[in-house]
Amino acid sequence: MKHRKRIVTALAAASVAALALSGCTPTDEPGTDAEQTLTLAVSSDSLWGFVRTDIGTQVHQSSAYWMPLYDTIVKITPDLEILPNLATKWEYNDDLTVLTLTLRDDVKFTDGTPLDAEAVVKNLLTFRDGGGGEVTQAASSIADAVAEDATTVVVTLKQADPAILPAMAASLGAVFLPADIANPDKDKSVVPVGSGPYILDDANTTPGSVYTYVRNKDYWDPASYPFDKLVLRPMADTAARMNALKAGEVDGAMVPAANAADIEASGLTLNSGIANWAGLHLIDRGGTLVPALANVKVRQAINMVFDRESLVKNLFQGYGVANNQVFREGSAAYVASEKDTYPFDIEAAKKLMAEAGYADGFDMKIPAITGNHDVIMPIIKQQLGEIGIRLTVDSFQLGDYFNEVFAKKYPLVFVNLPSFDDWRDVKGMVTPTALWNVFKTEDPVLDGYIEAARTSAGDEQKAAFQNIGQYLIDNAWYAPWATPHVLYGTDSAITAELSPGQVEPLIWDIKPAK
Amino acid sequence: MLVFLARRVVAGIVLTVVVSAVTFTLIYSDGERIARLILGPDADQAAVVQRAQELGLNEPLIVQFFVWFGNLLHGDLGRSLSDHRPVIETLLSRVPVTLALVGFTLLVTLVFAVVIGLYSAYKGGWVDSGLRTFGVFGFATPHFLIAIGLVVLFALNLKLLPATGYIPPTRSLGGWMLSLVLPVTALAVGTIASASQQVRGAVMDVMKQDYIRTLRSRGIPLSAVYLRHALKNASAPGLTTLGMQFVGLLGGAVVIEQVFALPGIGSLVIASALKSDIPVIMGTVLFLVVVVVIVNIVVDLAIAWANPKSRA
Repeated sequence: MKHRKRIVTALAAASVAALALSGCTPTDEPGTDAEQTLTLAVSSDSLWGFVRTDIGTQVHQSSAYWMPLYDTIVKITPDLEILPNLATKWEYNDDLTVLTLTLRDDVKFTDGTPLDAEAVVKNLLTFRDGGGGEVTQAASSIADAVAEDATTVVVTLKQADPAILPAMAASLGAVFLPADIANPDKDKSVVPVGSGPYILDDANTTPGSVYTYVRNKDYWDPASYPFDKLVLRPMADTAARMNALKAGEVDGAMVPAANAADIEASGLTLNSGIANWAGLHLIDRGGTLVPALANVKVRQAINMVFDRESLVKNLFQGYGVANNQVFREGSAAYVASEKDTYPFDIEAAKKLMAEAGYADGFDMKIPAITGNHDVIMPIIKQQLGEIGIRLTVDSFQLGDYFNEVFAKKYPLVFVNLPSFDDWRDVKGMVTPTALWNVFKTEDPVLDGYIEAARTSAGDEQKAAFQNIGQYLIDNAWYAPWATPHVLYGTDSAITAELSPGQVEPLIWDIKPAK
Repeated sequence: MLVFLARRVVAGIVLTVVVSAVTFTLIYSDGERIARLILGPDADQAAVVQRAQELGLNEPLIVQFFVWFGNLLHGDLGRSLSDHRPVIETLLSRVPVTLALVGFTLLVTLVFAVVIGLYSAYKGGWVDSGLRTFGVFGFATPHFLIAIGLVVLFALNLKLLPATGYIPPTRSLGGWMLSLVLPVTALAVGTIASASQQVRGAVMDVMKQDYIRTLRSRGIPLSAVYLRHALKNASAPGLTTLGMQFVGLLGGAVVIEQVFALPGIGSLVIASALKSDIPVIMGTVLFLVVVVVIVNIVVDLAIAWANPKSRA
């Protein structure tokens, strides 16, 4: 009896303790405060340390971390419309090689330094000379940038570049404190100095766990950023992200297709967008490593061994659209009349291989990212095996994978390449200098189409893009499978829109639900 | 005892240096690869070579190792390739999380393993069978499955505990404890299952000894024999198991920290390995080796204290 009494007392004490602990908030409750808090799970951790130093390493940084801190020169909508931001207006000269930006005159960094034309010029030129990376690629068309006066920047381009303004809505357009750029060894533990809508709340930030931002009270456009506080929680693990979203610990998180049904069943909203095209990138189409790939019939045969509808259904759980082109349906370079070219037909593919003189197939190697490509590689290997192509898979960690690819050691790669707008896609993977034209393949015919698209507008430009799309299909530069949808789950407190090419919404595309 | 301690410390230092040297050789063998990781995949080869020279990565490996080791003696483990923070600063921010996770797990394991092991040995019969069955299930079930089950039950359905996240104790002591309840439980189930079987087996072995019979013949109650005599003499294998469990727990923490989004050494290991952040990987390996060495020394000392014969 005495023992039982003790047990009851102990249980009661434990219950009281648990209830008392439950009163402590384990994480910031999303979207429920009097002051509006936006809490997001971000699929990667911050890489920058928030102060720009080594531009070449800034390739894969999630915009979620820096966009609250640093203003961009312009903004872009999910419909790809360019909107004013730091630049109130912009204009090109007649041949589109000189871009004049007019800046606001009332913007300051949080340390009081004016954000003027000199600061913008310093940033653009630093990115251009950054020594590598996609941002440097985006800035590669800049010949020079000059501050004409405090609010006027004249950007001279080596050649017309329709992608330059959209890039200024992303990392190329982020304006950092010039003093920070000049001092790469600056202590990264200090609170970063930007001119953006938020400042980092260092006291409530734990690197690797939670990054808290509070309003920049001097910001010039507070209305565009309705949340008083922004809390970002890096969560690389899918299970952690999904649990946090379902438990109401975050307002939004990227959702893999495999978890989409579960998220919808939990009463959350699934927002979808188009970020990538997925499929095989036949980068050695000139036959440097594998001579057989120089034969267009071989490349066409490779296109015909994949059942795209089945891949969308099974690999992307139905969240996506089968696509035999690298441009998304409805874009200027998408050729609607070719949508059924290269159907799934193993026998026809074998015939093409025989016509090309490769009836017995050949050997190839493909690189894979350990952990990421485990499901896809067996599919690729099996399907290419159907036409006698013997594939060897070499696995690498993510950090080494891209180095291996760009060292031109492999003739083909599986890709999930960004699908922005027509020109940025062409600039990123088709032009002779494009990062993703790995072997720098070129053809005067295609170059002519690219030049026409670069230097024209309206219907003329659309026709040029159609020519590019047609050329790429005819010559089977790629073996695309699909345009998969990226999915972003949100709770009832917010709405979110995904811009093309983005796997997570830009900060200005997230709004309170009411 | 001092000689014993000195021997263990020297052996630990030698082990740390050897493991560091081997790891360094493995991951620093290609300096240009590291430079390319910093500059990005499309950087010019000339820029890559120049950066490798700036960082001293073109020096002979032995020279690089002694430079690294010399810096280590000054508390400098270099800077991360990705966020440019000093590695030592990153490690110091992550270590408390993992130590809290593993430390609480060990504590919970110690208490429950002793109670369950003793009770199992003492009671025998169906209680013993039942606890042993639990042991088999607990040991065989992966940490992450237990973690997901706990989250579904306690966070998503009962809404009693957070599903993810970590609160530093400096911000909220209650929040800190709450954020560790599920991760510690997920990690502890397997170790309790394993350690309790060790305690049970060791206690049952001791209970068969002649001196136990002598103690019983003097009329000392069975419970006192178990608690005062059998447990102490069965502690050596238990402590050894606990030491091994600690090392195993560091591995388990890698998974658990991911599932619960805890910013510890485990999640740092995965993130830095995926990004090939060489200085952080090197620093993390060093930290883990040092921790394992220290834990082994502590366990050896504890065993030596409990059983003087083992000091030889």
